[in-house]
Amino acid sequence: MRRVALAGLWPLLATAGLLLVVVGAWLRERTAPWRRYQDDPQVRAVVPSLTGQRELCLTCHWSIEEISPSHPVEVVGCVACHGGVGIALDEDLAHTGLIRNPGDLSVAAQTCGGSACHSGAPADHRDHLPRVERSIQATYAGAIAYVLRAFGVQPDSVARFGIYAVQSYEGPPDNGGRPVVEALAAFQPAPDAPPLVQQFAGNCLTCHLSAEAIQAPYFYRATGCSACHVLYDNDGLYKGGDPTLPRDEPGHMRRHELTTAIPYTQCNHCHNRGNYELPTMTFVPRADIPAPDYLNAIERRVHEYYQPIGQFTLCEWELDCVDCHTRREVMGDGYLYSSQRDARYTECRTCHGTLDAPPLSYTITDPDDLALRLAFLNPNLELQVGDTILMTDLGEPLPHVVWRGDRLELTMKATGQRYDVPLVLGSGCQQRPDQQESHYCHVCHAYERE
Amino acid sequence: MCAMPTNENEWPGEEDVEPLSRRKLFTGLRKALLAATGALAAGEAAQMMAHSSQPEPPESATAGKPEDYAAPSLTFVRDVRAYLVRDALGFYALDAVCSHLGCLVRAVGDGQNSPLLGFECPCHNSHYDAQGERISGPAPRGLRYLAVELDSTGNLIIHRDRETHPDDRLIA
Ligand code: FES
Repeated sequence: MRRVALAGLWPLLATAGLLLVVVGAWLRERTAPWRRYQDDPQVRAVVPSLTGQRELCLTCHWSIEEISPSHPVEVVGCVACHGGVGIALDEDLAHTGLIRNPGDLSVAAQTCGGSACHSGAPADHRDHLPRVERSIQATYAGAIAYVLRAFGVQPDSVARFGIYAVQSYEGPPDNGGRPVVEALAAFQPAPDAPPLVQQFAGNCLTCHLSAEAIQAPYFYRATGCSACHVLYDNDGLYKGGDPTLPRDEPGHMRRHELTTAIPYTQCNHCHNRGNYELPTMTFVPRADIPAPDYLNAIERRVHEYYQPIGQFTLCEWELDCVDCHTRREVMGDGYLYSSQRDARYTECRTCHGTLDAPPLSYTITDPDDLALRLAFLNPNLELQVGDTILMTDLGEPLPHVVWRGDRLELTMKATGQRYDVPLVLGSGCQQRPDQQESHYCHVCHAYERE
Repeated sequence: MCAMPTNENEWPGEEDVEPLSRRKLFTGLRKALLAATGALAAGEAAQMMAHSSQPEPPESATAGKPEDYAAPSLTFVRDVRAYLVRDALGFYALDAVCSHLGCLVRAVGDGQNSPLLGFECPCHNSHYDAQGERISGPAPRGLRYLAVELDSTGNLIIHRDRETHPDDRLIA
């Protein structure tokens, strides 16, 4: 009889134990942290067509902005760029191996890169990443060469060192004859280098694409590709829809979005923010930022735009940096340059022409023309086969400067605002064709600050 | 205070209970517990499954009766991610999944009120002509032609898993 009783009891206890385990799991599930991010908690899955692997990231990040129309979440997903464990709902597990900024140059080869994405063939203009890695913004070669020369470590300003060792693209550059260098070694001052060079290495290698931003208003930015293509507000506050990101914690992107509509404020997170004091080799931020409240919007713009030195023409502060400086200048062309001056090649005449000729232009006939691709990526530009657009001396298209009948119209990439571009030809301008640097324009066209 | 029995004899009323009815009781309780466990687990699993997922398109899907479609017409059949086209010769289906990275292409023109000019991809601007041939953009090839058939009840079925020749038509 007792055996019978126990024979019935143990399975019962086992079942009760199982129920306890299930109830425990149920309770755990009901109170899971991810539920706090949704009013109507549900697991949200996507199976991106690129990977075919189920991802649950949107369970917590459910109302985050789509990173861009070219990277829809149902195609690319989250994990292809951000890593992590896509099928996990536990925060720590899901974020194991998380890549917070896929645009950082240390990981970009595995995130943005790939032959079908942004490490493709130069002939297809899909070599964004290898070009950026060689750009002067990434190598910082110009500043290093300048300092080494200033302190007598090298006899000239030809770059020999960069933030990391890198080889130039092979073959002669098609760059209009600007000087390039073949390779850079990683900058590491010798132990017997002058103390100020040592200090430069310690204090001043903060202004390049791999350097973390200074965590202060106006300086907030990401690194790598995202330094330019993910916008940060001056206050560094996130203003998008991801419920997991705090709204009151500075140091975040404005929204989870990639863009080519890049305003000058984004460039200014690095540029025109201050100077290095040579005697001490320390960075001294500008004291006149933020701009005084009494300035109106356009005055504020010119105040913030440039450091209070030099002269500038109307277009230099009315437009954004990306309206004049081309992708080859900013993102590099695969060759290594010794200075900004060597890397830059647009001139006033690129848009305004000369006394003798209008600016160079061409009519788009090929539906695969690079200009159409660039215009497609920018929400403010519209371009089609048959449009006549400007191009640089090197044949680089300027998809935002289009002939409309006998008018030359520039559309600002960041805002969509349109301007008629005045031409030198037929005007009273007396600039000589060999005087193309902007200081010649400033003689007549300089604008005064407030 | 609930004291655990120290030996079998201390189970309450053991002597008074028929072994079989105790077994029945235990079995009944066990079944009830199992049912509760199962219900709880199934409920949770069902909730986990009933999330807003974006499933893979099925290998085939029905698209209604042929008479539902005007000639000419172009209809996006969401289930199977394809455009069902009816022209003067019959029915055919074009895959709406871009051959580049898999975004859904948009038709330019509806083939009814406005002529079908082609297809464009909103992701990286690949363009295809009205026959699905690649015109421009990063797409490596044209759109696939998918087999269209009638099932035994006279419904159109589009097969994602079966490519067909561009000249093939279902005459219905
Ligand atoms: S997915 Fe269609 S063009 Fe890239």
